[in-house]
Amino acid sequence: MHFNSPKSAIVLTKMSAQTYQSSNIVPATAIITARPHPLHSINGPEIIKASAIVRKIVEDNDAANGTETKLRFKNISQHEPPKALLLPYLNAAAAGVPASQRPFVPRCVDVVWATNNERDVYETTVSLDTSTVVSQSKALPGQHSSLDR
Amino acid sequence: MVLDAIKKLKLPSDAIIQADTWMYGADKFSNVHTHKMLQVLLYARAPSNHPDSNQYSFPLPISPAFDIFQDKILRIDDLATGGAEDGLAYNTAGEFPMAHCVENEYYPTLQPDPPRTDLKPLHVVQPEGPSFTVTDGNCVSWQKYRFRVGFNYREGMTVHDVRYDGRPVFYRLSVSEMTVPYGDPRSPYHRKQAFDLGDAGAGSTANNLSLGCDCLGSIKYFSGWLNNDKGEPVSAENVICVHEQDGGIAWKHTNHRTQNAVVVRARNLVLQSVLTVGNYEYVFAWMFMQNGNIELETRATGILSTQLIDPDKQSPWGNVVSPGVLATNHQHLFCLRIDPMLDGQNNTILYEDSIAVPQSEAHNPHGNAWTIQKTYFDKSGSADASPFTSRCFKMVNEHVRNPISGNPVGYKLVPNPCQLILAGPNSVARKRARFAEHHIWVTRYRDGDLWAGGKYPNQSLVETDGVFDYAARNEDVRDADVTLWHTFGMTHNPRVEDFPVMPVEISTISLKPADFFTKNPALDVPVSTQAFNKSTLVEDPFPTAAVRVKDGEGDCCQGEGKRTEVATSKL
Repeated sequence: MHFNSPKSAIVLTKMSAQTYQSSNIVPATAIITARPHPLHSINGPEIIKASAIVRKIVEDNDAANGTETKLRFKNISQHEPPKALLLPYLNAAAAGVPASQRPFVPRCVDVVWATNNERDVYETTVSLDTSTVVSQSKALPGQHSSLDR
Repeated sequence: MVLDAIKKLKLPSDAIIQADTWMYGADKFSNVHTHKMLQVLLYARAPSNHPDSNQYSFPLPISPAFDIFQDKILRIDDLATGGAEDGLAYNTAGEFPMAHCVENEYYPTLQPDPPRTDLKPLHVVQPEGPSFTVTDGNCVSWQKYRFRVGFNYREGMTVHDVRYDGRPVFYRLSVSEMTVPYGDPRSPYHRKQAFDLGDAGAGSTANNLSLGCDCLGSIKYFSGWLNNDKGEPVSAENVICVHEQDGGIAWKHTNHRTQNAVVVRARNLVLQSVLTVGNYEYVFAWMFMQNGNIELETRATGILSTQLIDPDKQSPWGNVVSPGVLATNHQHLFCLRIDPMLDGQNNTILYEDSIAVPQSEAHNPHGNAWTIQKTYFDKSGSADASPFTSRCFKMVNEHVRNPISGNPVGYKLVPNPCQLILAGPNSVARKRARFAEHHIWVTRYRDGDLWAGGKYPNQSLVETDGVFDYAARNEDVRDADVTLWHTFGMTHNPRVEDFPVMPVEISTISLKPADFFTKNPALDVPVSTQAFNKSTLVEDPFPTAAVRVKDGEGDCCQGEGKRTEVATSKL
């Protein structure tokens, strides 16, 4: 399965279409100090931060063991917050509670990565709030990651 | 190795061969030590060599199996090209196995005939802009609905925190997985079974819609983020679009005494995403309606997956859609994940069947009556559609009663009564896709229970930690935090019309309010007027024939009875 990146549009009939400026699911103008809404998907800097945490795990492991691991990132996505934390947040927002007073919802990222030519597949969940690993699991023999994009 | 095998096919010396890298799948010979592999399907470009020529008209009868762990081609599989008379035999082709294939193009500049010239423009103009607003990046407000739009590599578009007029309705809506098993028993075709979400990703393969969703009117796009193998972010531009559509008549009544007609037109909100998985396209559109319905419309289009067949043969495993091209029979089975929060987090799932009451003097003296039998899910499990009992499934809140009917407020779903997975009970194909064994699954919510087909479906031997396992926990689901799953789809035995590119096949799944509101929620939509809509009447002279209709005279619209004569002309 290859990623479809059409380089030119096929315009068969010209239709009048007003298009609004595309916005990222995370607004570019978000105030740095305010926490993003928990349902904002992770953005570019958050992906970089999450992959850096995983890369450091691999590098530290290599340093300790004298190995040289070739690491490939597979899928990086937001770890859905637990409903027990997210639903109260959403209910508070719906009730008009200002953002700064809503319950805390952790912001975590799931990173699926592979080494050794995809033989070893790991899923590491990292917290963007503490820059630490929350959990890590290794896929069992016979469990394979997805195809490359 | 591959080039030598290709040489044996005696194709033109300048033929360009292109590879579609398929997931390898699994069968009874697979085990936990089987390497991660690719089954590479090869196609030739048409003699024109245009990069957008339809390679699927020229399928090669060989397929390399590539071992990802070892980074090498393990073997070249011969692909069977026989017809019904050949059974499961291989090597039935002559000296020039592909000589009978011809160009069969969908790309406009490559088609032999010019496009139609009799289509007049249709413009959708919203002079005051759309009726929706988007705030805080991904919060959509429209016609009393408010929800958040999400995007990830696997599900693509997701819908969160749907509230209507402030009332919580759905916590999360998404297509959780899909499986496309093929029905040709001849190896390696028996392993052909795509799990397009878990194996590839609906988000990873999402189209940039500004380059072709061609929605009419005022469109807004959402973009998301993916990543590359270095862990760097990759922007997924314009992967979701939102726009309004006219939906025809929403409701109408004419008082036959006064002749006063009241008609309201439906305005729908469409949230759409399109994915391309190799040859196929899937269009997913969430439609929000003023009547409270939330519907998922799925359209399958794109190009059929094809394989070579010998000239002048037919096969029981598919249909010949172009000379030498067999389009194999297959199924599309999707699993919709619905996490309700109807007026609160704890809901109940039940289904209702309409059953005739036996005729009896005491209960049904004329035999015309029927009752509605309700079956509640007390424990997690599964159920199937039952169209002959008009079965519908309801998600309700047993603590909130509708003040008019006295029933618990709810939403209903009539499941698409599709054929479920055809692969046999002992087949690996079925074991991998247990979600496709039933139309409906009811599970107790648990964080992380997101994947109907399990977390790692690629080359899976059996569905692991998918909806079957969630349901098998046998947990209490009555008046609890429940999740409803609906497997729907179609058995696709291709027709010639499905090639070279398939006209959309549309499935619609509707979630409709059932005693959630105290009256038609679209009652307060303003009445439709010509002044508001600015439609125009087609006036004479009109180039096509029209006849004056008068009580049965003339050819046109005979027998329609009384008609108001407007803009007719005598031949």
